[in-house]
Amino acid sequence: MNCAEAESLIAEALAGELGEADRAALEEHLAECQSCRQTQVEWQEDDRQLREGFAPWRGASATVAARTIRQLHREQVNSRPATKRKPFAWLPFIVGLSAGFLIALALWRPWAELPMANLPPQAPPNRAPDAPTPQTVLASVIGDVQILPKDTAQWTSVQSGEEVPLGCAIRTQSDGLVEFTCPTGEKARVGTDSQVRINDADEFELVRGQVWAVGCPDRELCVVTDSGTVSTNGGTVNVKQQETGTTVTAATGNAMVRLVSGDESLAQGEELTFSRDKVIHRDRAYSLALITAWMNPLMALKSPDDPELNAHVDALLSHLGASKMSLLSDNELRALGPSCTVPLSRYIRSDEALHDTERRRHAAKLLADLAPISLAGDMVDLLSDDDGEVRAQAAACLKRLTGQDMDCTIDEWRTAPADIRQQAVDQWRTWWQANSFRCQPVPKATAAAEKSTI
Amino acid sequence: MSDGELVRLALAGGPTAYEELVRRWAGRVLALCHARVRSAHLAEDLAQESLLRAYRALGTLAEPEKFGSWLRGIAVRACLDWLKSRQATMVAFTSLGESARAEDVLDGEAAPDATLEHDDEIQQLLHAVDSLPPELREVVMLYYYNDLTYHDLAGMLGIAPATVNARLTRARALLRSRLSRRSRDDYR
Repeated sequence: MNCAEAESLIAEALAGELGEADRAALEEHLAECQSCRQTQVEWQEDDRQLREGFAPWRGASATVAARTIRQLHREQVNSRPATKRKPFAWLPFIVGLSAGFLIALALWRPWAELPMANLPPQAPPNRAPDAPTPQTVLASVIGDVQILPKDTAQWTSVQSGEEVPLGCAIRTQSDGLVEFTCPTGEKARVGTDSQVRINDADEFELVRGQVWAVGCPDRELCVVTDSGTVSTNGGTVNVKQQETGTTVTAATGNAMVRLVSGDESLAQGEELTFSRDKVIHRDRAYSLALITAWMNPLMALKSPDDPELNAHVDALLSHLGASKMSLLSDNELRALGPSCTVPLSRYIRSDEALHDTERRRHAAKLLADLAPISLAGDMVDLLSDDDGEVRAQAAACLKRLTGQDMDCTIDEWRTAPADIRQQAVDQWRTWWQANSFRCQPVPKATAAAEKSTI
Repeated sequence: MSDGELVRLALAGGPTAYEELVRRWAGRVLALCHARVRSAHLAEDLAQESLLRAYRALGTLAEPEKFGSWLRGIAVRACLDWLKSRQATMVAFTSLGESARAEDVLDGEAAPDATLEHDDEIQQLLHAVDSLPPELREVVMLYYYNDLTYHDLAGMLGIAPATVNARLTRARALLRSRLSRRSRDDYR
């Protein structure tokens, strides 16, 4: 046996394909050939490393199979695929058709009718123009966001308001965030360094990163990951992929997570972390508002009256004060910027807040730092508040916004008797009456346009 | 149940027969696509597309027992279609050199998925796999993706088991040669 033949047998042995006779011959050669022994050692090590190197990719086979089967179901897999036609199966049909034609000729003798030229021209049927295919709308785009339509190879940057077709992929860079709405009402928000494919209006595929998906009532929405499929009927889920596993939070409504090992149901407020084939962790989500804090820049684009924004601020507010999440909530509220100030102001003046001094004062501090000029009137009202700390924060806010203090220091607002403060209150009210027309909030679209022209 | 039996069952309307074929062949199609386009993420999309194309064209399969090699042809076609579409959107190939082909454009993307999960030696080995001639790369990918026997590999590739071994032998020798050359270059 020469070394070339021995190498061939070494390869067969590595694959477990070597017969006994060849094995004996190979061992005899290896006993005498140091070079081939070296080759065997090196190829064994390469084989081990290749098996290790391919391991992460090997698991993708199940994912491909699952995705394909799901697509088959959507294409109505239970309908019969095109079958081979038997030869001459069309013959009986043609014979029958011909017989009918001959009978018709015999009965009606069309050669006796008026010539075709005397018949009035047939008017074309009225057809409504084809309705455009509904598209997915990118409601908000922040930072670097790109799309890749199906069957193309080029990623292109996008902006707010653009329409994209179903089947396209969306990816965000480290500063990118995007919110999109599908033709049937489902919507989603995609986090930074993420990639999502909109397989269908009711199915998003999370390739990497994080997505917040909102379903429509009485319709199942699915988020497909490489480890399992998350579905919710009319609810909202947050799905995040990390190295340690995929975490699903049922934000509103219930959710179902389908894994290879079985289905896991989640009630509202629960979260589940899983890997390819097993559950890693399951618990109640501590704070949905904090879990979804990454969406704050998108939330900040919403109108102050937006119900979702108000609910989000309320949720963060509930952590202020004595809660151990107070600092985190404070940071997240500050990250929302002026968008959170209307709900904060509303909270301070609510009956509920009167029973929670600490939280009310914290909200006042946030307003002092964040409130825009359009809330100056609310701050003037708070100058008459029973709580000295709230009065002081309102005065600090007005000082920041206008540069004026009406000859009343912050400490005086905090501790001085009412008759001492009354003159300053009257002056602020007079100021507000004279200047309120200048302090109306600017619509976000106009502000953005003005900013872009600078 | 053999592939041929599953194909006949699927054509007769069996609701899960083709799903079984998908589970059975997804790994092999994935390996084949990965060998062609040299990107694991892209290979997943192309593998799915190939399996769906096969389902839609199942009625045209004259010999159900040859489902594997027939499916391979569909997958090769899907990869070529993608490479052509990519070629159409690229800057003129003259900027890449006279011998540039669509596949070579992907050199810059070779094994990008390997970077985070593998140590340096394994990464070098995977890069070396990417640089193998196409027919050797294909058999290596199929073998290590799926732990197939020579008989299975031969059936899918339409070659004899001895040819499978010959290609794997040649591939192992080339990989070792390239790794050794790289080690010497690094040492210098």
